[in-house]
Amino acid sequence: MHDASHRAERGRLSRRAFVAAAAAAGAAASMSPSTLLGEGARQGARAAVPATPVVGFHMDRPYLDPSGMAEPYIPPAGTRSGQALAALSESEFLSRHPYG
Amino acid sequence: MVDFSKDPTARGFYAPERFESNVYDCEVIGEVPRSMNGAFVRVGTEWLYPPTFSDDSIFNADGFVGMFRFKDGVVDFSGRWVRTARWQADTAAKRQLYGYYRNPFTDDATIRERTIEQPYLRTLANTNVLAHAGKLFAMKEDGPPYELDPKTLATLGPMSFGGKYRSQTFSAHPKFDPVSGEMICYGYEATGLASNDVYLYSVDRTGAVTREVRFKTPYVSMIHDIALTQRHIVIPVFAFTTSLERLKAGKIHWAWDARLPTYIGILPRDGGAADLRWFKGPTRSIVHTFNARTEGSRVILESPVSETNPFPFFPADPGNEDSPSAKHGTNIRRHVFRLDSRHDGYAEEIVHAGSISGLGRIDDRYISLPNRYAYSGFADPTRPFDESRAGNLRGRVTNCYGRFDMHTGAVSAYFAGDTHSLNEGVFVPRAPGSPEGDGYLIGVANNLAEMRSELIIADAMNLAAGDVARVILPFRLGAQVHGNWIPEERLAFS
Repeated sequence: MHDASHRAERGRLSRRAFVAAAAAAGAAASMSPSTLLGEGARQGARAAVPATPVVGFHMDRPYLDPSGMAEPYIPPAGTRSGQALAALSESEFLSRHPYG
Repeated sequence: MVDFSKDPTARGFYAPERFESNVYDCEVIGEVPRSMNGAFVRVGTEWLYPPTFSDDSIFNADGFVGMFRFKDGVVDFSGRWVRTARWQADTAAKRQLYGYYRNPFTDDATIRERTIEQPYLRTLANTNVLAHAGKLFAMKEDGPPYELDPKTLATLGPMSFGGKYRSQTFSAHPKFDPVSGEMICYGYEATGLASNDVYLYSVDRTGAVTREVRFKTPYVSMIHDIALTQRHIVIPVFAFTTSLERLKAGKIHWAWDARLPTYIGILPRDGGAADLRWFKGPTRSIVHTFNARTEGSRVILESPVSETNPFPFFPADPGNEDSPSAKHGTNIRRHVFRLDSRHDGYAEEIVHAGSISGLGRIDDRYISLPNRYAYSGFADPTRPFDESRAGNLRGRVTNCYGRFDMHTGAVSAYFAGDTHSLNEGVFVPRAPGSPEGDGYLIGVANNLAEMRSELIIADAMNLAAGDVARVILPFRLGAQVHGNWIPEERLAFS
């Protein structure tokens, strides 16, 4: 439900799709016409930017959205880090964790 | 070789767990009420082997049942796979043999012929776990329920109700009549894949099938839940649909089709298929119901309702998408059906406009009877959320339980914490004779920072005060679908 709302709020072009499209355009600009134009393009076919799947979040867990339209889920950088031990003194730390 | 590295959703808190467990005398913060004797039993999803398709629905993962056993203020936990025929086939092959959610045409070539013929063999029993007539069973709506040993959670095998239950499938939401003690259950796609046949049964308090009604729905639809009154059964048919052509094309079972109307079937409890009356309304998603009641010639249904597709992993085919003008989000609505009118429409009223989870519960002692309170989780983006420890999920995780007063409109809320995400909450009466709403709201919270799951116990009459106890597990629980409180007098736990 939330994802549907987010999709609606962002409109038709997601940030990720926009970045992908911009990157493709930038790459295209740096290529020579002979590299850029494949056989299909030479025959007049339109080049489409494929959707980049994105990990979205729905019903309290992630899912893979092949359309790339979902708001990406970015997990925290450091779970199970040593943060909870930071307040311990050296002796307190070693008494509990003698081998580090 | 088990390799989840290609599944981008299996990371961090959501990485696979894949182990069975026992925790004796769990760590507790607060004090567990000594009057709570019984078990909170939950079932959800845990991939044993990585999915064949990375964009598959989580509802296609193996069933894993967890039981918090309460006795005199002490809580033990145990977790077990539901060892379905499918789980056993995968473990024998030591790999994932099964394809998309409820599509046997995408299964491994070594099993495909058989699973197309007998799709109910693919069930995972991952959606709900209930007790009736002294038996504990887990179920998913595409196959038979699996009986579990309430002492050990060992899987005893599929249930057939003495051979009198003839649907190939069994809903994950049978309803229990608190007056008669009956279980009203049903199976849709009852005669095979993409069939619009529904078989509905009454099972008495001893577990004997006493009645069968067979009928067809206006189109093939996800009938995930029904509602019960003392006189009627309410059957929602809505815009998730499928076809054999779709399945043969290798697509996931359900597609949302916003062109489809909603049909609500009203079946008299003592009637047959000829007595079933269909009412028709605009496109809605009614995956779950709160409750229903019959008042004279009116049937009243209260449910979490969405106007748009609530499941992104069951997308619409091109051309069948939601209208841009449709309202997103799920809220609590009331539908009123007039049996004394020839009109096949019905009235819809928004009872609580705020967005809620699509999961909704009541005090189960009031199923089929007039009731006042509904319970659901919801995401409150105004509450604090520690993104540095729990990820960019502000407003996207269920951080609150709400009690919704259906008479006055009042809402009271429990907040789980700034790194927590709540699974479905369940109401537990304080004592067998307590008035409606007097009890506890319990459910599993995922602590995304501490990488552990915690069973929340909150006073349902004072949710704003916070929890009275948290039962701490030293590990993560997989995604829950549904859970239930089973008092110890209803099941032989020991």
